[in-house]
Amino acid sequence: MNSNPTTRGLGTASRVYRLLLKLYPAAFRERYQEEMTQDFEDIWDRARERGIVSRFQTGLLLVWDTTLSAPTEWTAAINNAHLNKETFFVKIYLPSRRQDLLVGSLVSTLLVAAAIWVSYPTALKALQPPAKTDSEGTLFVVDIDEPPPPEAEEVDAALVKTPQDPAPPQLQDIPQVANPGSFTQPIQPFTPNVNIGATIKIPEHRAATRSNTEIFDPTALDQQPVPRYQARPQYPFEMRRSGVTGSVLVDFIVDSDGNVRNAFAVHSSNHDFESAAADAVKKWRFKPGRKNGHAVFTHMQVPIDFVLDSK
Amino acid sequence: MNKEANLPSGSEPDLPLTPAVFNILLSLADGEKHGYAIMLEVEEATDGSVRMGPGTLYGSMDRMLKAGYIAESDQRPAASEDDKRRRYYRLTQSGQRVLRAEASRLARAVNIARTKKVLSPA
Repeated sequence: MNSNPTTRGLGTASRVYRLLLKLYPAAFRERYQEEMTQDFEDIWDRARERGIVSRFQTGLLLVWDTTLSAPTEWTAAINNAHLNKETFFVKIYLPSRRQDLLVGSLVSTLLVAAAIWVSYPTALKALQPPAKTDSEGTLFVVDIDEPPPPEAEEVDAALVKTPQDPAPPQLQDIPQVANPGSFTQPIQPFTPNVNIGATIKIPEHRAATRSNTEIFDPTALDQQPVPRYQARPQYPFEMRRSGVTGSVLVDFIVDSDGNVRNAFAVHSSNHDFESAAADAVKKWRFKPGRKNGHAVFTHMQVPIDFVLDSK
Repeated sequence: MNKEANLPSGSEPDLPLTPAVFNILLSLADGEKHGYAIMLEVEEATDGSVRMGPGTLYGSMDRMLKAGYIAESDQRPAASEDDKRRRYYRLTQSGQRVLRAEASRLARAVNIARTKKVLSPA
């Protein structure tokens, strides 16, 4: 992962966020500042790829998060310290410095104000349907065609919401503790079996949200997708108990937001491993592949091996 | 944004857990993760209804570390995939016990709701 804020164009944003972190007690900041800054860069990077509305929402979320959690940390720090004057001033007040608190408070206030002033009209405009006038100058709202519903085989059951009859949680949904090291999941670039060009079209039956979206072979990209988060597959209980190992080749598409689409098992040594492998891959997140400066869809395949730990 | 949890320092779990703490524990149930991975998994698992910023996440995790529910992992990924600013966390035995207790409590509540026909049968 490229974590250099300058090369990612996040230098200014990171510096502003570091100023916000000055709102936290010194001990908390020293312990978590680097991790929080790293997470901020990943969050901001993702929001930037999703557009102005996402950036606006993310900015507000982060300022809101800091504004709420900083006082909680101060309360915890004060409660944890033995509150005589010496420890309070030595352990909490002095390391944090009044200057830091003032700077952090000021930055937080300015950020909220600036975010609303700069982004609100744009965000509002982006959320509203376009309006135009008829020949008499009367305003009316133009209806926007709903995108066609995805075909039945493309609907991910986990994403289907039925508010009228929500599926209740079930006892078997309680997660099992997985055995670390019980599988490997190296990512390999997709190697097409047939001779295709640098780009392919999504077949209609596989188009998820838009038509004529180009999907690229990783070798045709300027920058290949980089995994940011890889969920571990759950070893099927019966397979584990029976001592069965196996492997699954999962085919999927990384979209321009870095999300995985259309993950399915191409082939496997045992069908019972397929859903576990595909379900895990669906949760993966990537930094999307880029071509000519734009985030693009990328076709990938990954073998997932289910291997029992010898311990 | 979720209200922060004040976790107990003793060994007995103080149930119910807050959504943030429960979801963090749940996220770590299938293996160790770093903070950003936890954030993403919680957001995904809850369909976006629980969105934690870094402040909420690390505030909760700080108290969970002190309570012994989670621990920092010694293992790191391969150098090519590693970022030294990351820390990886794992569930402890105590954390597993608390998670199991909370999940059982929720399961019991669901069973009661089914009995009273608030929820449809499984």
